[in-house]
Amino acid sequence: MVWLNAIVQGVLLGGLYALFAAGLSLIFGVMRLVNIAHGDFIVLGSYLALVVVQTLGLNPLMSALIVVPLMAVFGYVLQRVLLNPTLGKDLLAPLLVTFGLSIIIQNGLLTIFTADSRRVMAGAIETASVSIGGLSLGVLPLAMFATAIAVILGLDFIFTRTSLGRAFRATSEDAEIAKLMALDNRHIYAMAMALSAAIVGLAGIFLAVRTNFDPSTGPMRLIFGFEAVIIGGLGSLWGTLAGGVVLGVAQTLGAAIDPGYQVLAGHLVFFLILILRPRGLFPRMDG
Amino acid sequence: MSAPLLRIARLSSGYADFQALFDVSFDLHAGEALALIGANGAGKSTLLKTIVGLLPCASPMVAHRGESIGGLSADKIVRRGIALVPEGRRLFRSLSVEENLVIGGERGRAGEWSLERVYGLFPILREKRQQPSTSLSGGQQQMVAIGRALMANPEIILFDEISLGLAPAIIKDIYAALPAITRTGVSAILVEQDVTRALGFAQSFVCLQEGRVSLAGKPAEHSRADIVAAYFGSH
Repeated sequence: MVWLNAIVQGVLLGGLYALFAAGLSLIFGVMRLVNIAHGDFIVLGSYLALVVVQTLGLNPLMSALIVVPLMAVFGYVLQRVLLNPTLGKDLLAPLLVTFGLSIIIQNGLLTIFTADSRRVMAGAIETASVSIGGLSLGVLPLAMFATAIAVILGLDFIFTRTSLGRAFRATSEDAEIAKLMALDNRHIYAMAMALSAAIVGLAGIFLAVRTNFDPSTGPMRLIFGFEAVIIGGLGSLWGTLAGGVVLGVAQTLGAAIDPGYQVLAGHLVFFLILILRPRGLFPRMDG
Repeated sequence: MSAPLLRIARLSSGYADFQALFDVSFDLHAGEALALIGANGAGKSTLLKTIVGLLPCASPMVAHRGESIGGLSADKIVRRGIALVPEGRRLFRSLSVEENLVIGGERGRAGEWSLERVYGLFPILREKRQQPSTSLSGGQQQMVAIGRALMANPEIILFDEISLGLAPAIIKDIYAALPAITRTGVSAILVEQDVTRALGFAQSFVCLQEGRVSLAGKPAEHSRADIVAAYFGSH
């Protein structure tokens, strides 16, 4: 029962990791940009949620109504002003710029919020649980997992059914010909970053409610996100969810053996998959 | 006299370390089909890419309806009604046949070209509408590339190497469709290796040699020998 419980909790935790990973995967897929500041974006979302909850007294989950649009605007402007000019044949320029951005965000948060660790209190929902087949499932992890599935479904819908999705696919495949479709690449890239940042906002809220955070928490979330993307297979949306779940289960099983093994177990499974299936569990067919 | 539909005036263009076009000038009039001929490397594709904004160009050198469009980005030029059917088709592999057509029209101008109209012109595409564009033959891919450009309802359509790599029977089919396009009032610039076929279709031509205009006019005004000399150079 302990093991079954650990696996189920791991699956639910995987939802959060999939949220970390989805935005990362989206950006890489559309513009081949590796956003080193992604984890810090998540923590920025957490602080934004903290401020919204403290000043407006909103329920943390309702703070999404403000945090998500704000993060989307942040993503759009950031891409237009700072990141678009770095895109080109060289992968190194955007890598360095987002690395710098990561340092700026961490230090900015440190200056404003100090290094104290924070937490957003969500009230009764934090401890609420439902009992299924002898297993006790937290309402919050369930909400997290449901949100992750909704986000992946939403992204899948956008990519396959909408004009914006066609524009994402076309631009990522052949940016020059996409211009001939009257597409403004700078706008398309900014829309992708806005979408990524909106998802990051959701991830930030769940992170803030689930655990303590401080300005230096970002890089570890980036690593979890990366691991989920690589395990799942680059460019595959459902693979990203699967990658998050594999990582989550590995961590909770590790923790069930010894609490000290939680993060290590995740890294070990990540390396194992990198050795056995370097293209991930669900590589994109047209790779 | 009103301004020509498209005026190329002393256009020089090229790539970072290589100039491909020198002082090229010609006009394209409304409803006209113009053949752009010349040997490999004469600068034909460079000229089309410069017109449509994929290559940089100093502003006064290209004018559309009397208004300079040199220096505009490609997406803005396409919105003005100039479309390019690129060399090698370059369809979006991750999009289905129909999606390739739809994306061509979504941000273009309003007009009479629609999915239905493109399917009417190339009926085979209707049967293959849901298939990935990679599953089509070369000729069918060229039909999608032409349809994709038409969906933007262009006033001017630029065809780059329209028959390159296609079987003769397919080339015949493609050429058979061209009058249906130009009849709707669309002007065309056609880059083509097959000079006889191109001159048979076009009302006027421009021959490029090493980035310069070596001969221009109406096909009937020039002897075959003149055109051959302009094409290959008289050494």
